[in-house]
Amino acid sequence: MRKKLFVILIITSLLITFTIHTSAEVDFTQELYSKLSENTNPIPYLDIPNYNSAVFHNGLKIYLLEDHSLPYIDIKGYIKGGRILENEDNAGITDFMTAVMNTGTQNYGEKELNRFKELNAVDLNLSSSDHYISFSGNALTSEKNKLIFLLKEILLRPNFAAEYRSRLLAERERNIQQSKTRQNSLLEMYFFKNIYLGHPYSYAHDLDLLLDNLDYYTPENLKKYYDKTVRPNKTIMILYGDFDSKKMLKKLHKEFSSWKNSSEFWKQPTVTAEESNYGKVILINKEDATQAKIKMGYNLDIRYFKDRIAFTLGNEIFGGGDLTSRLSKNLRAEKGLVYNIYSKYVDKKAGGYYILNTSVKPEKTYLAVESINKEIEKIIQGKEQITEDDIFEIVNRRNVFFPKSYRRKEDLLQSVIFNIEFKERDKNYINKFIQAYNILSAEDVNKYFEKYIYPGRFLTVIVGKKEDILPQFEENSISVEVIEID
Amino acid sequence: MKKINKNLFIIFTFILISFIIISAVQAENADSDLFIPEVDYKYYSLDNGLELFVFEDHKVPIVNFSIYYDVGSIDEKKGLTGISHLLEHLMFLGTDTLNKGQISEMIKDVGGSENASTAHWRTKYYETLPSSNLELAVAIEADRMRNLNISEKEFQREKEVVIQERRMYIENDAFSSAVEEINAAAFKNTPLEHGIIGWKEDLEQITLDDIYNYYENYYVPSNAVISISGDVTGEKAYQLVKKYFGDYESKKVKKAKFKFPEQKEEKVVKIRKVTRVPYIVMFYKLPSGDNPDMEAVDFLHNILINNSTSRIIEELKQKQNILLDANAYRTSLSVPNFSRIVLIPNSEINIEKVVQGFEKELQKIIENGVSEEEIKIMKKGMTKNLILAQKNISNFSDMIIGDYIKYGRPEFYREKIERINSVTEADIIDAAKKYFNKSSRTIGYIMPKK
Repeated sequence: MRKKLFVILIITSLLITFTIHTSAEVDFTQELYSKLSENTNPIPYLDIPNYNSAVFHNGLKIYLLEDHSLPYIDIKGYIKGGRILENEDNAGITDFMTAVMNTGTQNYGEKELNRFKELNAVDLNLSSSDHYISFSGNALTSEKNKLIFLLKEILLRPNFAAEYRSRLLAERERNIQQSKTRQNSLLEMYFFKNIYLGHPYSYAHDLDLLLDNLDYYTPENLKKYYDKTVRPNKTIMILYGDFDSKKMLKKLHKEFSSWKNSSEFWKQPTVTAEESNYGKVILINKEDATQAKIKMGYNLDIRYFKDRIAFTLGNEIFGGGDLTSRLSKNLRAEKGLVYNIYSKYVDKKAGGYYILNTSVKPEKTYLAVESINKEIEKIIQGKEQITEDDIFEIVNRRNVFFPKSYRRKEDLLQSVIFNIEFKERDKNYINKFIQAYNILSAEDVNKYFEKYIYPGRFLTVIVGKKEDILPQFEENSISVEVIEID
Repeated sequence: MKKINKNLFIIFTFILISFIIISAVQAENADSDLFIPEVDYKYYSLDNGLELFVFEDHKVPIVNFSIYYDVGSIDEKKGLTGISHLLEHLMFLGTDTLNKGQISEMIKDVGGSENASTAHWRTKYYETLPSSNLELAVAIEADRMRNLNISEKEFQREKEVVIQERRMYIENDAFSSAVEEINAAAFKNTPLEHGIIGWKEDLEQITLDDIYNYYENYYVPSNAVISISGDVTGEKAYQLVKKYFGDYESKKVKKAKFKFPEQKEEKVVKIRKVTRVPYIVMFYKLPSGDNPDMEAVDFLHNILINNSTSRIIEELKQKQNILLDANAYRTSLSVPNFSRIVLIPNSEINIEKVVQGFEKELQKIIENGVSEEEIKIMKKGMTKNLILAQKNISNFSDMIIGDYIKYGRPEFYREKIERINSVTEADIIDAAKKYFNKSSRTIGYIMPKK
């Protein structure tokens, strides 16, 4: 009997042990998570690559960085100028000119150019921005000379009288017409037209102006504009990859040193904030829209380094775009009003802006706008100010993601050169930036966020179905300018 | 955030195809430095069926943890469309221990980021964070694999967010909403009939009970694959996964298969939308993504449509000036697939001419074949893409896991390399004849509203 009891006890204890073992899960507790989510990331320092540079006698600037780990070459370039040089009569010409240049050259028709590119797997494309025309391309090492040849063809030998110009014009007209059916294009058009009243920054969004100007893009006008803007003393080339710097420089000199430059002086108009827009609400009636798209913003220039760093950090906490921002928490996680919402400061040479974007069910448009304003008030009235914990989270994350974003030398090189050439910053700016955001206090961030956030200045542009949206604003005695689309 | 990454699949396919071409490269560049990158990984499995791939990369002290559930929109039943994606959203709302929003907050606290995405074939959750905090990601995923805890109120609120997402990306967009209709007509009564986000009516009717049933059926270790890449050793990763998931019970998951119903004549769908340019959208049916004919289909797509030197582009856009743009792609799933071709005529009056022009060029390939130059162009471009893809080797981990989940073959790309190297002109002609028949096609016309 004792023996039996002993056996039973042994079996029972084994069973208990086994049961305990098989269900020996991790105990998920707040203490466990608290322990696992502790971490302060070190302040990173990015090693600026040791690049070579040269300036040809015609003013062309070259930056080179060798990397032989993969058999390819990458080229990125900028021609300073861009859409800021346009006026109302020729608006859109920069973009159209680059489209013609991408399509063919004096020596290569459209078909021949495409064949040359695809048979040699050489890519090269020009595109336009507010302050520059950029070009980017790449090729396998074995085809590097073909890439340089193609770059010379496209930059120096455009054919504005080619047959394809008419087809490109017709396609452009159709594409602009199509943009007029799109909510985003309409939103941008009316927002930027009002924020940048008559300034070149608004032209690329002004679909009516772009349509009106199509006739201006004649071969003669294109050539004239090209002669004025595409010049070596305005051009910067950044080459990266599998090449020998000395040989490459020699090759570039051979191909581009005879490119004639221009001494023309360009005047770049500055932006004047349009006070008549403060607090204005514009509704663009789009009968088929099932959502209301909202863009709110105002002209904003933050010229001081510390102010800008503190404000952008504060904005990341306020509306940085992820699920933990104040706007996301309130409008998505608490109210279920929006799928996404973000705000950002856009720094532009002639005058930047602050902007807030979202999209809501039409019936909830006013509620969304009101909720956004309330979130801003919470910070500036001191009810829910930005805390040291908020700042720690953002700084801690940036300290991980800066090294990650720039782990490829070519990305870091491009950022360094862009800072030098377009922002008048030194080559180590990125490390100064990292240091600067790491020493910000909650007091700094609150101070500068409050300094540059102006709820009363918001221009609000909404694209959606008028009959669903307008009554909400009328009920709240807010006057709305309604625009009907033809 | 948490949005369906519609392009993810295309990107992976693109990288995969790029890989495929390498043997041709090696043949042509025997003396060059071109190489197939050795994608070095370690594989582990637990007794409960959970599998783990570890891709070590110690360049920066960061690690990515991804868990893939072998469930997506093709597994959804009628009436429950969109449930995979809805569940993906709900997985961020808490567990028995974690509060709503806490997952994102904790990941942010350590300087990381997290997100999720749903595809036809899988649902994926991932965290990128300092490698010293890898255990946090493992714990979160283990916790929410078993202890999801959602209140009715939070469920209803998040459902509104998803309906909002649907309105934003599908209903509010003339092209997307029309393609959704054409797609539904093409694949009626199959799991490809609906999009990943599901039908609005279904989303409105899905209950919290439906969600929990779905969760309990599919979110089990034997239906999941984990990928950890970055600054971690295989052994350490394995020990962590074992610690948090090791005692979870295995459960058999049934996956339904399907076939396309027989189609004897072309289906035509005409839709009017607020658009100033018309669109022509064609769907052709294809077999499983690992079918040996699929490489020839890729060649056909590019020779006919996708390149600047493609026949349709040269003839209809550059010569006849009746086409604004065109593109073609195919899905790559373990079930039947499709090729989707979009042609954008410059005007409504040119719709028929564009369709006829497309058919004529297709017929020319069937009758006269393709040139050596056309094949060379494709191979050369893909070679370069392969080289450039190596700039970010971590993309390959996704490809390997995808092939493993879909076809059970993590190194399927090597097999594809062999296949593509042997694609001939005859293969391209055969693929055109076999899969690009008018009678099995669905054609949709999206025209301007009058």
